[in-house]
Amino acid sequence: MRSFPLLLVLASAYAQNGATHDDWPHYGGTQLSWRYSALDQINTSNVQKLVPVWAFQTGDYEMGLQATPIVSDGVVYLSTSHNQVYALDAATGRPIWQYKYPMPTTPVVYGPQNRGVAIGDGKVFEGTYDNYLVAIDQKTGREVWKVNVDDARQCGCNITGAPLVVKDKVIVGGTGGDSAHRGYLTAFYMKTGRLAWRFYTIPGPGEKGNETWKGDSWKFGGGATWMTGSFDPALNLVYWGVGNAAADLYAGDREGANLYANSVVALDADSGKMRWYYQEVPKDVWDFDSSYECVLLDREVRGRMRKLLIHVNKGGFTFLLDRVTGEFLGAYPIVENYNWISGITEDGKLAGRKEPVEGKAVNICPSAIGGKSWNQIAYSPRTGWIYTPSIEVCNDLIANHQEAQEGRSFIGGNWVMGAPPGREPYSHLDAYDAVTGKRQWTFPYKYILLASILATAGDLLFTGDPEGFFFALDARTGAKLWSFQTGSGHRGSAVTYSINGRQYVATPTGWGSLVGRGLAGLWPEAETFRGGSTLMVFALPEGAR
Amino acid sequence: MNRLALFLLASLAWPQDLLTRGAAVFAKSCATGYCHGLKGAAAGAPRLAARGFDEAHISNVTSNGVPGTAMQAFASILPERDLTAVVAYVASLNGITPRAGRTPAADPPKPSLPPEAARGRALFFDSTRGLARCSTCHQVDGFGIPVAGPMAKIPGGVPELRELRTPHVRMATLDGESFPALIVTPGSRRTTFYDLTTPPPVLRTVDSSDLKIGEAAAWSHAIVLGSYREEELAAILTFLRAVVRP
Repeated sequence: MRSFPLLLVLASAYAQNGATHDDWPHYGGTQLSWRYSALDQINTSNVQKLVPVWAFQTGDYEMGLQATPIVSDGVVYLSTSHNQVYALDAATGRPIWQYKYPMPTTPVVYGPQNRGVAIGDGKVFEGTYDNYLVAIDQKTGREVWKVNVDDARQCGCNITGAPLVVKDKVIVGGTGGDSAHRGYLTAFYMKTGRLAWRFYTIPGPGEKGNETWKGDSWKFGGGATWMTGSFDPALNLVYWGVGNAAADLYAGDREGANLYANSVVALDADSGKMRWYYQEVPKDVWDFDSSYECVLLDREVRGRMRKLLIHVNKGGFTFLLDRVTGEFLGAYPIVENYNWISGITEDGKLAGRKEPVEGKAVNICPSAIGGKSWNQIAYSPRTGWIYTPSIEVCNDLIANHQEAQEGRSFIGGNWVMGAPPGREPYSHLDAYDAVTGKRQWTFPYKYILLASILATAGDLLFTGDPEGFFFALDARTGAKLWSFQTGSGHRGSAVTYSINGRQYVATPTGWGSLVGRGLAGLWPEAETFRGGSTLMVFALPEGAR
Repeated sequence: MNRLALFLLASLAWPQDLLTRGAAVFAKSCATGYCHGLKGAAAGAPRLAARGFDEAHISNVTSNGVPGTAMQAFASILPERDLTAVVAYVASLNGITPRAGRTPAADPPKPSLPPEAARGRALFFDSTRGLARCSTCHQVDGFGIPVAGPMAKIPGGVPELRELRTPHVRMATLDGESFPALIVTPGSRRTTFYDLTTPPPVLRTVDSSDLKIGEAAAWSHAIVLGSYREEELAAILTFLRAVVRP
């Protein structure tokens, strides 16, 4: 039984390999965003021996440490919430340089948060809390160029996601989906910082798709691009998830499907022109973004080899798309409690929509924090499974008419988080067959898991919890094999790399973020969860390998 | 209501209409989204109920925001009546009874621009034009990106605006390519300049030995005004005359 899917997987691995090796070069590991490493020195037989080898404290505690460290040629590049960037010796933690970004003197839209940098062309790229994209010399830490993407004070938007490097360009998205704002992606030339292209996620007048917005609602319709996309070099396509339509909960002023909000878009990497889109949630009224990661892999679906894009929507469903054409191939839930729809039909339609009502509380599952938050799933080609951190929280949604005021909060109502029917809120980390959606095992957790998943060829999964434990599971069974208390909760993304034949596992630790702090509304004791901002690095003891 | 009556009421509790107003403002502006939650019970932003805050602290944070966090300065967002009401409401969540003799202030009259200047303002900052708007390079009235320095003089008319050159824009040559550049920090070792090849301007820093700074560039505003019609530019000039104090 086990060898059959394994063979398929091996065949596909030759087609597109999204595994990292000694380095961790991109946000999602590689541009295919598997968050999977081919390193197997640390594996199920020896993970119990893991020990901490160094720690680096950034001193920047606000909102926790949310980054994915980038590793290249023995150097770790780490960004903090206030956009301080550190280059660290990956074997020892010794600081090589620090890029000091000016600290804010005024309030910051959505609060200071940063999820990582990108590297390319000898530079380190970072989006900032005040909406600049900066390029830093990778060797010296000196600023090479800096460009403003939009006026944060006017647009109610900024940059918290990691940029994506594609060929000679660096592409960056932005927040603003809960503000009166119109989302876009912008590409700059890595060498000069000059604008290459911009793609608006909401078409303007005269463009196809603008007719899916009533009146002027397209001007402030949301569609933020606040996470990081993927890239298929063979197809020359950039894939990016687009956020919710705004106002989030009230659609009376934007009747229509509201393209390309709540969609996955495929753009030509050179021109930024859209090649296809797939809208997961037409006329969103639940704040169910499609902003999350696009995992690119090749697998057989119903007897035919396909280039796939696996995408988890905030509404708690995983969508399976053909990434050449955007064709819908299937969807499956990753949450146990959902009532916003009764299901998804074979042709991708949302069935049995339960919508918020103006001025009246309607209980909806999952909640606006998502059936999954932005912390990312992993895919292992050894199992053919995806590993998803799911959240079982519901909310009372109250819709209210709201006039758009550019850059101001534009929720169109409110949400009050609560428990699913008949039990406490909870979460779970699961393994699903990526194609069939069949659940292989589940790892339940008392609070909610808000750190990304790292999968390795050692058949291990690494992630952390809000209580401060960083732990390893057996990727095939979900059994917990190792755990370490890092002193603060986890809201970032662990990575693994190798130097001179020694494998390291590095995890950001430091509790924070908007959703993280919201836990206190569900569990009063969560108010005592301590903040922090430390990179902890583990390896097998010398001599134990 | 006379002064004595107000004092008696205030010494017992916040006026109910003030709290009702404050609760409504809180629900709309503070409890939403990832912020403070209904009745300040905590959501993505800190809990505000039963924190032992004093009124001065609540008033200060509400009015001025908290630099470096998502907490905005609501003095510039809410009308003063709403601000007073919401401070009273949050104070009530912390068990604070009001100081005597206070009454919510009336909204101050808003300074408003004449219609043509207001239209010019909207055009100057018009986000539907993307990067092809004035505020990509100019900061006026607290908004926009200050690539250019403060405006010294407003052109008399649209033709003068189109022809307007910036004496500081020079032709720079780097890596065998020439382009208009606004020199920010010339230095013997490193030079910082804005690359004006295409909007938005890029602040670049290079080794001075790699950069050749040439003559004044043939750059003029006409190059970047393409998204505006003649009469729109006239409205923008009206706006600038109304707000810029050279």
